[in-house]
Parts: sequence; structure tokens; C-alpha cells
Amino acid sequence: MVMSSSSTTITEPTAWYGPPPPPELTDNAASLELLSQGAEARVWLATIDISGAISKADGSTKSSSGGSKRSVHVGSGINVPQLSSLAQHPSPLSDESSSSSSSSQSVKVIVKERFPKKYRHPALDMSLTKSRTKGEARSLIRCKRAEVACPKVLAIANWSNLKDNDGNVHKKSETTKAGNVCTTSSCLFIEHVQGCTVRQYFEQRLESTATQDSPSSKRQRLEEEGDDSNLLEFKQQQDRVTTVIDSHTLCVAYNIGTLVGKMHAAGVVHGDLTTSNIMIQNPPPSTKDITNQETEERSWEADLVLIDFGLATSTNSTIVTTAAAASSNDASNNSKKPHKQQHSAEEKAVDLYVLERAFLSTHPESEPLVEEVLKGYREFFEGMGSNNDGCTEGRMGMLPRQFSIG
Amino acid sequence: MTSLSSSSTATDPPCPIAPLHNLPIPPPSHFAHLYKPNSSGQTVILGIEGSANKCGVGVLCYNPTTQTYQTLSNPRKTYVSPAGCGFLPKETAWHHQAHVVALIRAALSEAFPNETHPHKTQLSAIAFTLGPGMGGPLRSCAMAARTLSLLWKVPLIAVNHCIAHIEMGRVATSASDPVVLYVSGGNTQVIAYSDGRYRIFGETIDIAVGNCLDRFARVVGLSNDPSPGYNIELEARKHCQERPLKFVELPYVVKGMDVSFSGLLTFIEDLTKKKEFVKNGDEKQGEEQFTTADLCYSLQETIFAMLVEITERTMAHCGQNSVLIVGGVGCNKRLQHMMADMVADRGGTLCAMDHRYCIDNGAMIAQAGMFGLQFGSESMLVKMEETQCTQRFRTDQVEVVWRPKTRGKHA
Ligand SMILES: Nc1ncnc2c1ncn2[C@@H]1O[C@H](COP(=O)(O)OP(=O)(O)O)[C@@H](O)[C@H]1O
Ligand SMILES: [Mg+2]
Repeated sequence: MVMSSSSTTITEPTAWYGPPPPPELTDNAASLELLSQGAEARVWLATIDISGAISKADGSTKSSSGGSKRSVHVGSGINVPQLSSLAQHPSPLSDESSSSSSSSQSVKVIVKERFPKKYRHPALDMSLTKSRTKGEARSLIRCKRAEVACPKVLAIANWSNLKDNDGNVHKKSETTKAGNVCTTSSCLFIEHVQGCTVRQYFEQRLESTATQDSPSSKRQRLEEEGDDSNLLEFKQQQDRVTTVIDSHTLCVAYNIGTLVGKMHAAGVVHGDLTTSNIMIQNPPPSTKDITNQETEERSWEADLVLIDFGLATSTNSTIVTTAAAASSNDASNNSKKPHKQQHSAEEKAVDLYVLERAFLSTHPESEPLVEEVLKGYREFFEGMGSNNDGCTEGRMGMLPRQFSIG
Repeated sequence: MTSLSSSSTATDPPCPIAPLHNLPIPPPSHFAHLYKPNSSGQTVILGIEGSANKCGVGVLCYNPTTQTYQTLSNPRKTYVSPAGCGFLPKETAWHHQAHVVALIRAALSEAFPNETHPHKTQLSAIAFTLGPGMGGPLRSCAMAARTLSLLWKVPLIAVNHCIAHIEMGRVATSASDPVVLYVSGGNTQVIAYSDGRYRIFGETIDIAVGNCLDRFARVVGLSNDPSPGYNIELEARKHCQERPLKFVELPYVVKGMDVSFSGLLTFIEDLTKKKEFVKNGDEKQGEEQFTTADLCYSLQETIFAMLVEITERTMAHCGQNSVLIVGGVGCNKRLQHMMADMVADRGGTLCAMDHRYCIDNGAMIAQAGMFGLQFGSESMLVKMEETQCTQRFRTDQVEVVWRPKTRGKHA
């Protein structure tokens, strides 16, 4: 059975594009594995050797050692002792992994690298790269404080490079010649989350609805008969696969709803909710093994973590009321100030709508799962004793643009 | 129309009529009863375009033996409004009414120089732009199409203007499944094909990119000839290694895959009222001052970066690595260059720029019409009473029956 491109599980990229990662990164990590390269950032899994480094942990970082504020801004350089000290902070997410890592003398961290884009004006590029990394960190920290499951922010680092006219990259300390262009790489260091993305979990469990006729023989027959319209139709049908709907997947969906509700209550709108941006730490075993575990099934709860806050916006205050939300709606106004008082109901509805689109377009026939997500979202707000601004009900009607998408 | 002086029509060269590359889509034979090929078995369509300030008529021919499409002729007239104002629907409609008949004559005689009555022997159908665009100009050209359809007894095909850009681009470059950036005076969309339709993945949430450029050109008094956008490009090209222009930071608004230009336009308009603004470079004295060229340069750098960014997001999202830029703004060398840089970094390909799909013309309407005809599109093969033009007509409303219906990329 040939699967359409969207249903294949994400293969590990073997090579990156864009400039090589900053030497500060490659020099200090024992290994650097590229997990993904999106439009904006490269995500690396860095393994950092911490044997012997723990004693020197308090290097020259401008670490704010207060317990509540966990972000650490690192100036121009970052080194192993600094990073490993950051990774030593106990975290609710990685209870087991941190205890095991102390014995193996190495820790895993995720590095989200925003690298210079050749096509952009250097001044514009630098300001976008920096502000987006900072914005992502801000939203993560805000979620963490409200106990919304997400990776902990470990550090931010900006590295400047000078590119001369021949395209060679120098460290900033070297001489500045006229015509040289300054570029910046920004790295966000965050905690590594165990498990897989919800998308990968769903896709591993795809069920195909195969027709009796074997695909290749039917295709051959149609081609011989020269039946163009049936051939066209057949090409359309053969990719059909459906998403498994069972107690586990429904539970995952319900928990997604709760998690998104919690995030919205914390004053964060994600901006890019897809099943690739939600990770599941405890994917349940496959369908075949379920019968043995029938008894455990009821108590199983999906352990979900939100990632990828690259497009998120966060507000100052946590409790969102309908009245104030309605007034702050002007897109052009928002663009200039990073902080807004409130998110409007529409912004939250867009978040849910984006998630719905992602479900339906990535996971065939997943409508029941979407309903379950919305149920979880509603019931979270009901449990809080507040309303959800009608986001779930009005999620289609209030969107002028997507209205007509098929 | 006597009120139109001859200077209001631009003297731009006609679209090139070289043979097109071709996509490997053999048309299914069983829709053939819907139309009549000419005596040599070829299908010939006359396409009429007039949704904005260009009136164009093209003749396109499909040759079943070679399975190729060829543009036989493609003349065009452009209405140029007086300096300082944009083209208005009424005057533009007059312009099209004044020129459409002559253009049709010219197109047919250029395509079939040896025939006295090509409309009787050659034409299989007439394609026209149903929308989107300006009402008056659209209706003027649709009226011509309707009249000829009745007169010559050939079927009418109603075409979505944006789909026409895309299909002409695909056929001309042989790019079978590119991400399409559609940038013109009235449109800003990032489009990719999925599941039977051209889906809009990103677009402007307020004004179109061409509109933003045109309005700024008017504020700083640049000419409308040949187009305001081109004159901005010329100003911005004064940037060079020896004498770099100043980059003024402007609001950069990308929201997910959407862009917004209205805040930026207000901001840059306000800059021209500041005392630091000097019109010409020679008047520039201090570092804090900026000129028309500086602003044109900064404007292009900023809005094109936004467009390239949402295109890249769509590529990553859909897992595609070829890009096609269509629409008038697509002719801009700087946009082409930035897009090429981005695409090269991703190891992909940028389709070459070509006037046949960047600038509005009749042949592209005929090309989309040809697909609709050959694949028996029920929505495009319209009856006379269904030929009402529509100013709003979204790209994703059209069922793209000529492409396989694969499920895929999220919308
Ligand atoms: N903290 C993390 N732990 C484990 N894997 C991660 C983590 N963050 C990201 N990833 C992996 O990298 C992929 C891309 O990361 P993401 O932040 O979504 O970047 P992008 O903006 O490019 O989508 C995710 O889908 C996930 O597989
Ligand atoms: Mg992501």
C-alpha cells in the first residue's frame, strides 16, 4: 500500500541547509543530532558530557539564581560547565531521566537554533532572530509558571558573526572591514522531552481501508482498458487510510483540550497548534497488546507536553475576561507592542481552529477526536468556574478568511 | 471612446508567444463530445482577460499528436492612469471597451494569418475572466465574450483569474506541483495544491502587496508609467556596495502564514512627513536624514522578506521544494533574487520569471479554460445565464478537476 506523503512518519533529516551551526555549539556538545529543520529554526538534540564539569558549574554566566526564574541569559559565549549546570536543575518533566543522567555523566538538551537568513537585510534579520527567540522563551516561561506542561527554558545565547565580501565568517572580535555584514545566530536551550509527537503516535496506528482488488492489479486493469476517469478516481482512492479512534486516542484528544485550555488560562496563545507541536511522553502500546491491559486502560492518562512556541503571544495578566477581550482586536496595533493586556476570544478561537485544521488535514477521519479536544477544552473552563468566551462554539463563524476554505 | 487620450494606453511589448513547455497531463478522451476540435484535430481557445488595468486577448492551441500547448498570439493593452492617482473602475472599463474588439481581431489574424474566417473554422471555445477583479472592467470583457459566443456558436468557459496565472505558470515552466506566491495589485496569496483544490495557506489580512507599493509610490510622487511598482524598484536599485542606501526599520507583521501591510503603509507615509525626510539624495546632509530612495529600498526589503518568509513556511509545511511566483509584483528583480536565495538554501528550485504568467494576459485565461474544457469541469463550462462576473472569487472555490485528488498537506 502506497501511503501519501503526509502519512509517512517524519524521517530523520540527514543533512541541514543554511550555514553550519555556531562553533560554540559544535565544540561544546559531545554529539549534535538534527531532529528537524522547519522554516525558521533547526532543532538539535545535543548530548553534553558533564563528567568533571559539575564542580566548575558557576562560571561567568549572568545566571539569576532565584528559584522561580529559571531562564539564564548567556552573553557571547556558552560552555559546557554552564550548560550542564543548567541541565542539573530538577524538573518536573524529567524526573527519571535526570536521575539516570547523573550516573551516565551526560545530559541531553534541545537546542533550537535560529540561523541567519541570506535573503533578508542583515539589520532586519538580526532583529527578527533575536526577538523571536526571546518571545518563544517568554511564552515558555509563562506557561511553566502556570504549570502548563512544556519544556523548561535553560538558556538563550546570541552569537554574532561577521561575514566579509567573500562570504567567509569571522568571529566578531576580528577586524571589522567596511562592507562586512554582521549576522546573528540565536539559540534557545530547552529541556529534552521523552517520547514522540502526537502526530507520530497517531500515524503509527493508522489503519488502512484496503479494497478487495489488490491495488497494483486493479490499476493495471484500468490502464489496459484505457479508462481515464476511473483511473483518476482510483488514484484518488488508493491512499485512503483512517485514524484509529479508541479509548487511548480519545483520551489523548481530551487531554489535548485540557492542556490548551490551561495554556489559554495562563495568558498564552500558541499560534501554531498542530499534532507535531504536542509531544506525548507515555505513548500507550499498540492495539494488539491492549486486550491484556484492559484493566489498566481506565486509569491511563496521556502525559502531554506542548512545544514550539515560536509563534506564540503572551499577555501580562492571567485571568481573561470577555469584556476586555473584545476590545483588543486590532492586528496592526498589536504588531508594535510585544505585550498586550488581554487576548481576545477570537485569538483563542483561532488557536482552536488551527488545531482543528491540523487534525483534519493530517489525520484522515479524525472528526471524533476534534470533538473530544473541544470537550476537554470546555470542561477545563467549566471546572475552573469561568467561561471560555464561547471560543469553541464560535470557532468557525468568527473567522472571515478561513470561512471559505473547502 | 473619445475621452481617452492615446497616452493613457501603455506601449508595453506584447507577451512572448514562444511555444510552452508542457506538463505530462494527457487529457482524458471521453470529454471530447463537449467540444469540437478543428479540422486538424487541434483544440483552439480564445482567452479574454480584463480584470484590472490590462486588457488582453490570447489564442492557445492544444496539439494532440505532440501533446503540447502553444500560444499562437497574445496582444494586450494597458490602461495607465494619470500621475498621482490609481486606475478607477469607470475609466478602466472604458479603456477595455475601446480596445477589446481590435485586440480580438489582432489576436485572431496573428494566430491564423492565412485564414479569412478563423473564428468559423478554428475556435473550439472562448474563455473569459469571471473574477476576481474590478466589476466594470470584468463586465466589459465578459460582454465581448458572451456576444462572440452567441455569434460564433462556441461554448463559453468561465475562468478564475488566479487559477489562470497558476496554470500558465505550471505549463510554461513544467513545474508540476510548486508552492505558488501570487502577488499583484489586488492579490497576495501563498497557494499549494492539495486534495482537489488550490488551497490558500497564507495571505494578506488587509491590503495587497501591489496596492501597498502603488500607494507609497503615489505619496512620494513617482510616475505610474510603466507601473508605480517598477519605479519603486528603480529607486531601490540605487543601492550599491559603494553607496549603500539607508535601511529604515519598518513594522514587520507576519502572523503564522499571513502578512499585514496596512500598518506598515501608514508608518512609512508618516515618515515622509517628518523633517528628516528629504526627497533627493543630493539634499542629504546628516546621517539621520533619509531620502525617497532610502524609503523605497527599505520598503522593498521589508515587505519582500515577509513574502519570502510565508512562502518558506508553506514549503516546510507541505514538504515541497519548488516555488513559482506569479502576478505583476513577481517581475520585481529584488523579490526574485530574495526568493532564489531562500529556495537555494533549502535545496529547491525557483521557476524562472516569465511575462506569460506574471503579467495579466489573454493566453493564460485560455490555458486554464483549456484544462476546464478538456477535463469537463462542470463549474467552468457555463451556460449564458451563469456568466455574471464576480468581484470576489476565491482561488480555493474552484474544483481543480484536471489534477489528481491526493490527500496531503494540511491547509
Ligand atoms: N523539547 C523537546 N524535546 C524533544 N523533542 C523536541 C523538543 N522540541 C522539539 N522537538 C522535536 O523537534 C521537532 C521540531 O521542533 P519545533 O519546536 O516544533 O520546531 P519548528 O518550529 O521547526 O516546528 C518537534 O516536532 C519534535 O519532534
Ligand atoms: Mg513545530
